[in-house]
Amino acid sequence: MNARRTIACLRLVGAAILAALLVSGCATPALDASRHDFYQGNYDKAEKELADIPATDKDRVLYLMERGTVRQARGRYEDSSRDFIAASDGIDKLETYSLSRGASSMVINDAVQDFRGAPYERSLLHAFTAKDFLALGKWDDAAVEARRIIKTLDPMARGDYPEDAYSRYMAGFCLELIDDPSNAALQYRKAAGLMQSGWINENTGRFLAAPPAAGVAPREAAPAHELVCFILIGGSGSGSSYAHGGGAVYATVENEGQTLGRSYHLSDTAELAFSTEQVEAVRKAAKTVGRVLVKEAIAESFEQRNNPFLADLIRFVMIGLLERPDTRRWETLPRLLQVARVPCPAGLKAFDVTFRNAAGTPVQTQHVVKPISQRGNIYVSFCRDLPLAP
Amino acid sequence: MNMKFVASAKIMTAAALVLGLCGCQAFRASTTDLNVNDPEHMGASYDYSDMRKLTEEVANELIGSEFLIKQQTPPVMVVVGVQNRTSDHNDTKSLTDRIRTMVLKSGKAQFINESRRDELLREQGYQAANATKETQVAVSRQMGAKYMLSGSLVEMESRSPRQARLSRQEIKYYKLTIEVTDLETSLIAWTTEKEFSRKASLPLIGW
Repeated sequence: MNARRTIACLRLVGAAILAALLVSGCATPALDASRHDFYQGNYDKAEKELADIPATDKDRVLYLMERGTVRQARGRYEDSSRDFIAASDGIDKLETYSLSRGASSMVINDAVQDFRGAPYERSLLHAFTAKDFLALGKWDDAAVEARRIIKTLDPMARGDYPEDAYSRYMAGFCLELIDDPSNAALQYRKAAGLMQSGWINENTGRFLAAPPAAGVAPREAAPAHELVCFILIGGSGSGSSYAHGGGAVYATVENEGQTLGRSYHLSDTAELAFSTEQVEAVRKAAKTVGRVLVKEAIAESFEQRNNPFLADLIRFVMIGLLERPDTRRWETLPRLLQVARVPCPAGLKAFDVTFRNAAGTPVQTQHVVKPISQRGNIYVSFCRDLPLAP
Repeated sequence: MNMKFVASAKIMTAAALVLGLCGCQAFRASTTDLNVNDPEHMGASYDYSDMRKLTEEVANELIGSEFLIKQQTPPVMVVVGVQNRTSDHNDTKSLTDRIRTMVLKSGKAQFINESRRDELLREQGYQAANATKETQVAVSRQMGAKYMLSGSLVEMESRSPRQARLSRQEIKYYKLTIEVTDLETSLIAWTTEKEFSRKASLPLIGW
């Protein structure tokens, strides 16, 4: 009788462990392969890896974020914006807390819950969508994303999580382009307040190396034509590593051998991820302790039924194997997010971006011909220090 | 005897469950035709019912306006679009398309097909090179617009604050402004505003 009961219990535990392992989603080979290909410059392959995204996958939002970034790097701005908007819609739907997933996360781990991104990832999602629309010259749609950024960064929505200057600048710039200078100025002012060095003239969106002495923007003559180039450097790292990159820390913009200006640092995704971790540390620790206690209680119940082997097995699997932190992150995000706003000649068709290390030594130069869009006397572009597609 | 009863009860319960689920509407794929005139809102956001209502109100007001009544002949207009100033990717062209259709049908104004200019020129070019003299359309005979129709769709939103609650309250306000500008003088010849607001409640906890 006792042996029969043990076998029945073993079956039950085996089934539960199998189910837990399946639900916990140990590996995402397609995602990992796609990220690897992306950072190698194999954008075509990276996109193919994510060709089919299951509609009900708990990581659907993450897949869409990653594929949107890959498609943006390939210059497929329309498709990229569709992915980003689908990811944003998915996040909105996840605002309703799932009791089933929540309960699973109390028994297995946090990775069984649907991925909806950290608050900084959600604001950057809109900033990246805005970039697609800027590249397409869809100014009204870019402004829609600006409003979504503002909504995401609202203290009521954001809570204690960090906000980022890059998204604020993007919101301000998109509003500036649709002739909404007062709201643009407000966003530029907030972005300036978040910058660790440098300053933004809220009336023009132009950068200064340091805040003016009186805190008042100096009068400056408007250049006939301007280039606003969003500069993206490095990668956001994976797992417990927050960043990786090739050593570049800023970029200069050149046209026909003449330096037009340099980029200014706005946000660092490694810092944002770290600050987010700090905000979540207490909540996560409390949840982990609670979960381990539940698992220990289950194991002890088997011990009390004279089944020490089963109790140890449960401890090994439920605590040893399944208990792990949720390190899911939008890994194709760049590490450093910067903007170069420089005077440029009329009829700009191409320019060079030289990525430089802290000593000013060039690390990589890219000849940019796409995207370059124009609204009035402002040219808009973006560039990232990724390997060029083979 | 008792064991047999338990087993039969289990089978019957399972069968009832399967039959119940199969018969339940919620578990079957289905389609239903809706009457587009009946408003159907799934949330607080602007939707097709709002688009229909707003455009109908604007078009009717424009058709019955002093501005159009006073005109000797139906004026030629060009639609330049409605600026989307909301936080959703709404298709504002559908607004102006519907207003244009209703006003055109009333016979009170004429419209330039500005969105098909490129195709129009291409077709004229093709005809000039390939069509017979008798069927060829004459070039440089296009009408110039006297008025420009434009506008903006604005959204304002408020949400319930962060606190312990089971649902989220959301209020959205929308305002559509449409204006007709005299292209010669740049004066606004006619304008109107239509607005509405809606409150929605969304659950914060679900299965």
